[in-house]
Amino acid sequence: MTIEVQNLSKRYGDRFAVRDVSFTVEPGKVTGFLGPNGAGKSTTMRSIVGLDRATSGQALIDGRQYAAYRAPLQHVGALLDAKAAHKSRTAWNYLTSIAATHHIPKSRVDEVLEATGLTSVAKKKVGGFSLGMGQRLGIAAALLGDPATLILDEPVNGLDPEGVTWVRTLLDRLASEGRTVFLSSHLLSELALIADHVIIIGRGEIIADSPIDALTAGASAKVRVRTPDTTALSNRIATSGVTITSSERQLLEIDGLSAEQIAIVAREADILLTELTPMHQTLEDAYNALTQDAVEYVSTKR
Amino acid sequence: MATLIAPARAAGRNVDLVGTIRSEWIKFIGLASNTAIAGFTLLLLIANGVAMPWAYVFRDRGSPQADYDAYAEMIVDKTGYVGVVLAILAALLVTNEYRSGQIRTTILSVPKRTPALASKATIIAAVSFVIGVVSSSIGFAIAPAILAGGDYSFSLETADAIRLILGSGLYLATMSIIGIAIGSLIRNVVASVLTTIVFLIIVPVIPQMFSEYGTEITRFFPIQAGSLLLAPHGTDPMGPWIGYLILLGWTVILFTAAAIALKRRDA
Repeated sequence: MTIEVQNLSKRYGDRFAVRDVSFTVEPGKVTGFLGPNGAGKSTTMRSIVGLDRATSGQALIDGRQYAAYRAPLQHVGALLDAKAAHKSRTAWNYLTSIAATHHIPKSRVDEVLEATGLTSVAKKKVGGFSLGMGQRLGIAAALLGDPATLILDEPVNGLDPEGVTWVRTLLDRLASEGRTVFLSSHLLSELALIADHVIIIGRGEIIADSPIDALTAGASAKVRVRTPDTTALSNRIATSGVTITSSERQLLEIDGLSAEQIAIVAREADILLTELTPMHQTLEDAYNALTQDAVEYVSTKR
Repeated sequence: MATLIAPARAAGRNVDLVGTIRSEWIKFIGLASNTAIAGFTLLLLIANGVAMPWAYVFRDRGSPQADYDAYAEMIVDKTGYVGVVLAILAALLVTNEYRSGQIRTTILSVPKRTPALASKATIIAAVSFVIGVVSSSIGFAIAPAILAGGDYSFSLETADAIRLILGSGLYLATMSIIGIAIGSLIRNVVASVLTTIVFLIIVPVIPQMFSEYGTEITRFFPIQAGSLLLAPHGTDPMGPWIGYLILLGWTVILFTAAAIALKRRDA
């Protein structure tokens, strides 16, 4: 199933939580929804499943609004809040009460408890659960109806490393079964491990929407060159599309050419290079650069 | 491991009222505080049904105001205010969902929203109805024996017996639905409890403090009108059933407002 968000805006009072957001989440892969806290991730997800009423625009799941499904849990499973059950309720009571609405058999409740490793604490009160156990319970609830689409808001938050690995394995498997998996996080490091595709949101607007590999590949990578003859080298390589900056004597930062291309030019011109370092841009750099732009864009507009 | 995620059997079918009512029942009995308050209310009403004829037998006959005949309605004469307890319990059923975040789970499962509210109202109304019918039945079964101990009795026509027994259930069920509506409109635990008490108990007596015309207004508030269903004939010219219809009117208006608000607001 495909999630389509079309020109979605949500305003609280006079403040836009999300503004004119559009994107598509495809089945068969894990799509990450990344942005700083307060960027509009939760609002967008809540609007997709109809908890929040969009101010304008809409969100469709396979062409229909969430509320139009007669058995929504069989199409979409959502985890929107790790603490979604009354403290004095047992995990079993919580899950069976959800299952009852869709006439889902108790055997299925056993299955999701088993799948999330909660079988031994099924009859314990939710109030005694750790944040990680709460996340597992939320994931169990999302899986109840065996949905083709999963929408998970910060599912890794509060999990220990073992738990993170577990979620990653689970989501990979769900995606490989052809399901649509859409999860949010404010931590890039989390998503880098889990997601195939990433949508970045900042200040309520979409900043990037690309495969996670392309995020770094597409971003410009500079090469650091140290040479006694900076002028000669600069003259040789200065063409359109190449930017050269220098922060200290004998050092150039060249953008627009690969290290190999620079080495070839230097050999042909008989220029000595004492250092030639491709500066690999990390995903973190790419993310920071992207969100930085968004912040500047917003602040200059005001 | 893969079999753990894909279900062994088809997982469920369309949401319907049977499912949502079962879900609300599971939620109701899943919290010990709910069953405790319901049980406490039942005991309170049974205790009143026993205490009233008991008090009649041992009353101080010297004082002029104690000189009255035993009457059937004394068995259920505290039910009017006990309705407030069930209204508060009902309001808590709703507001606890907002406090705990359960409301989001509820709306995700039932995105049309109003069936969930109607089902919750159905459950607490059914529980309240049973409390009213059981407690008044026990009262009417025991009272004659207690009165006989002091050589007293009351006469009870079948029509009145039905009115008082079914009426106890109907009155409490309707009051609990008012609680559901207030809880759903207010959404905050403390504020909804306060609103329920202020609206049901304090506001109605304000008009009568100012003038005699005020007393005319007080008659039409939920408890005052509704409990006529359980009062002796002649308590108020509008009679038991018109009184109950006025309570029902309040309930329909408040519940409709709650349903519209639930449908429109963000959860």
